[in-house]
Amino acid sequence: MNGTPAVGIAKGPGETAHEYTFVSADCEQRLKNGEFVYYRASVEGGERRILGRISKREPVKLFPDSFLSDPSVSPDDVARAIGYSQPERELFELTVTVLGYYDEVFGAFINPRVSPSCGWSIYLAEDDLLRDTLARKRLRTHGSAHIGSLLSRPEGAVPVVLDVSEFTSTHLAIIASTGSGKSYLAGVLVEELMGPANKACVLVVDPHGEYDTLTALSNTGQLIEHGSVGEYRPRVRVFTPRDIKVKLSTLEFSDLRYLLPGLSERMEELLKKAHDRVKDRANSAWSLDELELEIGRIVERNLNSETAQVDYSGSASGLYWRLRSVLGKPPFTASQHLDLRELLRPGQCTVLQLDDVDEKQQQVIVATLLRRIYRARQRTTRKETAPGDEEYLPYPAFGLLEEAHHFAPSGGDAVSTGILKQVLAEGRKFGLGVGLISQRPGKLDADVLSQCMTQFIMKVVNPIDQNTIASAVESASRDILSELPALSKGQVIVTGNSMNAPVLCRVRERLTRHGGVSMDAPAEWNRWFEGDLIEERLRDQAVLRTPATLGKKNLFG
Amino acid sequence: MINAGKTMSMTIGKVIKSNSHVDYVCQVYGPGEVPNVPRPEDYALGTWVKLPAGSHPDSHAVGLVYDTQLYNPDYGTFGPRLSSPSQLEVFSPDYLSETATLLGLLVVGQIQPSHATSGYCPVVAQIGAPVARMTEDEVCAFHVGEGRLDLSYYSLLLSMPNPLLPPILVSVLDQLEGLMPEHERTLRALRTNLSWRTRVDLAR
Repeated sequence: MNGTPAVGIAKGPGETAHEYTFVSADCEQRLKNGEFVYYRASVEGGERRILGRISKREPVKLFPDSFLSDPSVSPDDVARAIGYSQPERELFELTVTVLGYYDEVFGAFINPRVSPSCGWSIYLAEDDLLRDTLARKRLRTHGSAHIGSLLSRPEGAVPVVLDVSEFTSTHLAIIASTGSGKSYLAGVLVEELMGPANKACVLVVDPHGEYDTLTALSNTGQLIEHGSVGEYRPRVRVFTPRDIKVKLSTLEFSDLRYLLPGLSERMEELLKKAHDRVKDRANSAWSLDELELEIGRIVERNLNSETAQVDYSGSASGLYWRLRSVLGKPPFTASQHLDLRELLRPGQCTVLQLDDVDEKQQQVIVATLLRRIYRARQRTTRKETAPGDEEYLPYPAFGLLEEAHHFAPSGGDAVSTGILKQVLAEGRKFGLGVGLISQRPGKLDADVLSQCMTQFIMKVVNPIDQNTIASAVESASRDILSELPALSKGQVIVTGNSMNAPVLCRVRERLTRHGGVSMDAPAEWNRWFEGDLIEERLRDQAVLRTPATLGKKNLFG
Repeated sequence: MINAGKTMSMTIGKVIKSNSHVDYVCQVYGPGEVPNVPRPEDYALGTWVKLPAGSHPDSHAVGLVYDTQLYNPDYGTFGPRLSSPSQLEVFSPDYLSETATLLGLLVVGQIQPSHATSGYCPVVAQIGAPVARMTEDEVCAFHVGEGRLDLSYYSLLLSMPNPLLPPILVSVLDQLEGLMPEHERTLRALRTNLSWRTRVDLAR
């Protein structure tokens, strides 16, 4: 019936309806937590392989502790000495969470709700079976992203291939503590998005300036396609903080209030009135001078009015100073901002480096940009704009936000939270997806996290962060989340819409160099004492001796 | 307790009955029965013995002295005697020799010319079979199977309802530790665990 030898025998149902247990000696130690096994059952007249994941492994027979008393004596030797020389020395009871059989029509796992009877054979799932059922896409097909391979199998045996159309519409989250490889994984994802299978339009918000190595994408052979209509080569554009411009007219009043904290009620009222007026003008590209002029007009009008009861003149001077100090310098300008058509284009990855930008300004930059992209996609989809219009964006876009907890902090009032929530809730309709990357899910807004329907969860040790993940990630069962502290660098739990079942994955090697490596401080310190650096320092510190400083006596004496 | 240091094989008695397939009773030879009468040290508790078992002349069951009994039919006869002990020596010498030392032997394996089997002996020994103390070399050979230390009788001994067996087994392990230094660590691990079980655990 089946050429594959059984690895265990079913014992009976587990604690919950979708669990069962089986017993195995597992001499070859193949039945790890997270490994996939199946049993055969008759479902609707046909035989099906009911796949499940091992969620618990408990010993039912082990050597007595007393056999382990002397580290220099193997318990096998002790057992053999008293006459036990069988290779089977341990017996385990394994709990399996049932995924079900893979239904080709639905393209999903269907749980038949038939637990295996006691005595049924349990088989280790073959690589082919997992390849065909766990991933929604086949390797290197259109709309696929190959991020690595199944952790419980040899490297490359079962590739983990994501459905790009899912996570670019229903959003993704990469959650991991520092140093566990989240930027590396994000780099792999960008490589896949920019490859010939996707030719995506990607915007990376990079608060630490560590994604500039992506520029190598253009010259990476695996990502270049020689097609019938010409060569495809991914394009990468890096915008440094100096290149980033925010047009004042794209700022909402809430942005202004956020940028200018501590305004008095009177100042806020005055600013709101002035902002409403400059915004209502036909030519919406107002400048700071115009805003100040409008403030002056309101103050003057109130002074001259017999009915007006408020004198704004005192507040106005303070407001001018604050406006100048914040909005009177880059990245805020009256007439320029990032052109969406330059920023977003299929086959192009744009990296927005925000490493020298103040955190509040970063939030405002992201908020205004997301608002503009969202509005452009909304209007283009509704056919309210035409080619040539500034808000014409005739293709879906995907944004990747590093340090997402800065842009949507939990319990915080960041100005970018609102638009992020809007994109997460409605972006799918207009072809706008976001990927959030964070090292502190506990500090990320819970609604924001729960709206990301594909999750990449790497090593997380902090219990608050673990709880946040458990409550926000619906698709991952508790047993798979219990693996979180045990994950190593480069290992990730992938769960959600882009896969048919949650999997433990080993991230593949990047095609481009990783930019987010930590600095080797001891090496830098040692470098300080190397000969060439010492000489260089001496040269720099030497007093420049010009003829004037040397004096005539020395010259002629 | 252990009769250590002896290297010579010596016949110490004969099988007179059995209580089960593994439990034999041996009567120790008395004066006049053999040229060299065994001394009490030769059949102390924990002594390894062998007795012919099976049709092959070199096939022996291996046993361990686990109990001793002194047999005296005269004990309990308190009535008047017609003859004094000195007269009995002359007129009924058989009567006097009815006192005997009996040994309880637990058969825990078999040695054959080609190999040794630890655990049990499938064939039964016969009444009258001579019981000989094993040499140290024979004891070592019996405890090595396929080049490895083999004490397959260990569980059998511990499962017997005789409270003397665990301490006898501890002594056996001590003896083997001296005889087989290459297996010293394994034997010590077993000994330590057994000592704990029989001395500390039972004292709780």
